[in-house]
Amino acid sequence: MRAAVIGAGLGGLLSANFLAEKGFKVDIYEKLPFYGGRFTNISYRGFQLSTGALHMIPHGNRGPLAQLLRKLNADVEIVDSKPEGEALYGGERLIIRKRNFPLRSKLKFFKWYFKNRIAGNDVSLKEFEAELDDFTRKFLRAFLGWSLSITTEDISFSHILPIYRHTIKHRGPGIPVGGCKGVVDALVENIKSYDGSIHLRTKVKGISKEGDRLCLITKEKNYYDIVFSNIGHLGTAKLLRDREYENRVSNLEPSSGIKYTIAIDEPFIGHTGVLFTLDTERISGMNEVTNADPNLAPNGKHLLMAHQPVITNNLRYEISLGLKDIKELLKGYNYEILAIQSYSGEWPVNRVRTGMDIGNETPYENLYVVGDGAKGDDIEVDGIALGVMRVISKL
Amino acid sequence: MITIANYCVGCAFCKLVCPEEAIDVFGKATIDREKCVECKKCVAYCPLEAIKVVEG
Repeated sequence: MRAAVIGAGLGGLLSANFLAEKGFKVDIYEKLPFYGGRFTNISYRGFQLSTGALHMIPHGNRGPLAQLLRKLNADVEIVDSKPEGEALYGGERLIIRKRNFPLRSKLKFFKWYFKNRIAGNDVSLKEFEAELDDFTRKFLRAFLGWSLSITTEDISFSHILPIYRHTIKHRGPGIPVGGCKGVVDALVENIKSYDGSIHLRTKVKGISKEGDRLCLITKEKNYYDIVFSNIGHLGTAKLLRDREYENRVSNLEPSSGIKYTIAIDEPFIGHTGVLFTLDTERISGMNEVTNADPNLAPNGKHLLMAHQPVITNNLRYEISLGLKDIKELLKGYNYEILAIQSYSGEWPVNRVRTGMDIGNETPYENLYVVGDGAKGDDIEVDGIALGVMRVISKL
Repeated sequence: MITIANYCVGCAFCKLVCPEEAIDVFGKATIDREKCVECKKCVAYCPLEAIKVVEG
């Protein structure tokens, strides 16, 4: 039995590893000259810059991705963040723990939680946040911006509940040793050990159904019993030239964000957790991954990353606000911004914004969509892992 | 000549792989033609195929 994976990003590599383990002969097609997509590193002036994700796994060693990696025997070491998170609020740093949130706001949360569970009532997060105290409201906004690149206007209360439950269950983040590339390298090593092939610089130009099999058109034609697409529903529909499918998925909105990678001489955060920034206009949070893996920067330097959602449709304006925040936050520090990376449209943070996911199925029974275009109900790569597990459990 | 299409989203892969430091990215990539040696590495790394080589 032959399987193909379109796109060698994290969702594609996880799927390929599973398929190879199940005995399929796997071909992975990747149009770029490298594997990993938005979850790997590019070395720049001795720093390991991530291509997308923040060198972080949202729920560390306990989350869906880590569980999946263990199941696949992928050799990845994850340093769990300690503390998991801190908030910078009113110029002070506060460890994120339940008792730092006022009781009044906790009660508002449980009011809506039970209203939703019992009566199915929902509320937009915009309305919900209006009931909260200043600290809790600003933390909620920072959390959404950092983790999901969205604002309270983009999501309803009920859609945030699964993420809340996962965060209570699996807790906070971790940093993979070697950064994002540490994870994808381990997966590729496994895939190769099963005799799977990765075809870089190989663009899939079309998919056609021929009998029970699917034909992938590159420079040649190859036939497969099962195909996993890691390029989102819309990209997949276009390859199929299936208008009905394309129309059905054309309203799925992506999420957009901006990441700043900063070289800094002295540690600013000083630990392996997230620093949620509540006093800022745009920046939601920062992490300093060299506190977990010093090899991500040259000797004696630190790698600091800051992230913001994109709120208006004026990208240059959004970046100018982000830079203003960074200047304020890092006052007195010796630093240099190595790169400003923005993600939107067809190369977004998430192909489908959290809360809008439509699942992994396509109109073709042996074709599934995985990756950030078909996540499970969890944050970023942990959501990708859940989505992949959802498909694999059906095979 | 290397050109960058308007639909560039600014992911900066091109800047990170450019051996001549000829690319700057601020929401979109811009190229310094004085520094560019047309090695085409950026063309290969662009996920949106927004960087193209134009004759002349």
